[in-house]
Amino acid sequence: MNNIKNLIKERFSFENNLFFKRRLRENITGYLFILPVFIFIMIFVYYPVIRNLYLSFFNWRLISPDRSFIGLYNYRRLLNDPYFWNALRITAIYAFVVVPATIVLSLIMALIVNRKMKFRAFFRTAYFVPTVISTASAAIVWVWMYEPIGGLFNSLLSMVGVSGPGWLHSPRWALPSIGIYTTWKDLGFFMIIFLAGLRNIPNHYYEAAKIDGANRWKLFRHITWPLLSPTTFLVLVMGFIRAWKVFNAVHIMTEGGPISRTSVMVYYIYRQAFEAMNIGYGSAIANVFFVIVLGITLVQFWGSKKLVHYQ
Amino acid sequence: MSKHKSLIFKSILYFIMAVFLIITILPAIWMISTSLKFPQEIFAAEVSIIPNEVNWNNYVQIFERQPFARFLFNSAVMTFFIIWGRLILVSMAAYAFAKVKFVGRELLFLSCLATLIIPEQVNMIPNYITLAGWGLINTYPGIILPYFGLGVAFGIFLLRQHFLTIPEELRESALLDGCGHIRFFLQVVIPLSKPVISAYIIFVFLEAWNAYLWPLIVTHDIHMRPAQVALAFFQSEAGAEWGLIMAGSVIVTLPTLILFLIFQNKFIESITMSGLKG
Repeated sequence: MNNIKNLIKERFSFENNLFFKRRLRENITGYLFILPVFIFIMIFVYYPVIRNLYLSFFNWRLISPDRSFIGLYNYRRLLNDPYFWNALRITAIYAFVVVPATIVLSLIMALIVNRKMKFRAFFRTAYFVPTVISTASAAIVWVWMYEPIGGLFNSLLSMVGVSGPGWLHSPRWALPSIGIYTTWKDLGFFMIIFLAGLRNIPNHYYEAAKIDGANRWKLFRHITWPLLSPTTFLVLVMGFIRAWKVFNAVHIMTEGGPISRTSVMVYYIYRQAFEAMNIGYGSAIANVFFVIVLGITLVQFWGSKKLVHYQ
Repeated sequence: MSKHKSLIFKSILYFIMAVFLIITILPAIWMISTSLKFPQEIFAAEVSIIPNEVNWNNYVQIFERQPFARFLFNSAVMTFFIIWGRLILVSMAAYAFAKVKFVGRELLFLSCLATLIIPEQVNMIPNYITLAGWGLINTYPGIILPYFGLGVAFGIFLLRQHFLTIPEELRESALLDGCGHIRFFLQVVIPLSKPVISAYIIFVFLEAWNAYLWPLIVTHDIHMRPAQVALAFFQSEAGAEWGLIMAGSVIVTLPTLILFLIFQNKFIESITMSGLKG
């Protein structure tokens, strides 16, 4: 009897031991698998957020070794900096015009390409070309097309007797010109996302409505539009975040000019930090920028719960 | 609906389709067209799409005027290492989050996803100072390393979602055969995930090849610039030599264009995936 008890005890402790050993090994494996990427995430994503905050309390020009603690001075300076307010205003105007324009146009494109018809694949491919062309190449072709003398747009306009504007060189037209370009560049990207959303709408809804005699507009208004609302909302938020981050187009096409009319937020941060070498001040603007983008993201969290019509 | 009405609708539809077609592909055609023209034709009063006389010389000259081969090489190196580095780091982490049970897994996964809300433009100043401290400004590692932390969350999420679909029974039977996590990961999970991994590679390729802001900041030496940045500088220096500039633009966009035409569906898939990111 005793013998058997001992045997059972031994067996259980052995299994327990094995169990714990295996769990320990499982844990170690898990941590080792995620460790490499977490080292990089810590160094290049999380630490910089804290360091940005820290740097914004200093007056530090990158080239000189001395940096002095100035508290909130950079933020006070920002409030009185007309170029900062200009950047904020320009970016907001840009976002509020470009985002709706992109959404409307890319939705129309998606609706067209989603129809069953000849050459559907060809049109989908062609509409996607702007998204595939490289950043610099695309922006530079548009600089060339926008050229006031010899450029494609003004040459075509002069053929019908209109003398075109200075586009990127004109204080009035520079921002719209950049907006037209980025809208064009992002059309294909948003079209593809709308297409994915359209595919998710069950076909029998349309069939049922057609039997009831609904016309095209009614089908769109009462089926497509409400059932597409999660996608539309996603595109809206993504579009706004992208619009706030706009930089490449501005750097390549106008360098913020003429007379700061295209000096958007990220471009202004870049100018302050890497051209004027005002690290502390650049960090302060970057933090304000971060709060704005974070705000848009929070609206998304809130909105996707409250506003959007899910099935 | 009457036939007449339907016909009107169709013609309006085809008109809109044609307008969109011109808008979307005209710039690409204009780029190729200009790159093949002689200067006198570029600035001729009348607009012509097909050059009267083809001038291939622009494609030769661009390599002579600028170390353009070097720029393309820089881009290739950068893209290659970002793809492979990301793939290794991201797939390992995604595997752990999907198939290994360890304490704090959910919290660590969340802290990884949370990086999605931090724009890289916010990180650029501190990252520059960090890399300058390591003496890595104007070097390949300086251009590449931040990409192993920035933007990896999306890949981890994507691959994890896919790894979760691999049945748990497979893991258990492999375990009985004495197959550990590393072997299971390399010999079972990775081969089973080829479609999603290849879509992710295309996604990273596009990101790396088109990277602009960070390489612009971290390279001061012209010889270290990737092609995107170098092309932009060349454009502002070359002034009105549009034939040459357009030849450069065609060359820089050629790899993405060729890949797109070959792997169209993968491209579309990877763009759709990135839409899920937001």
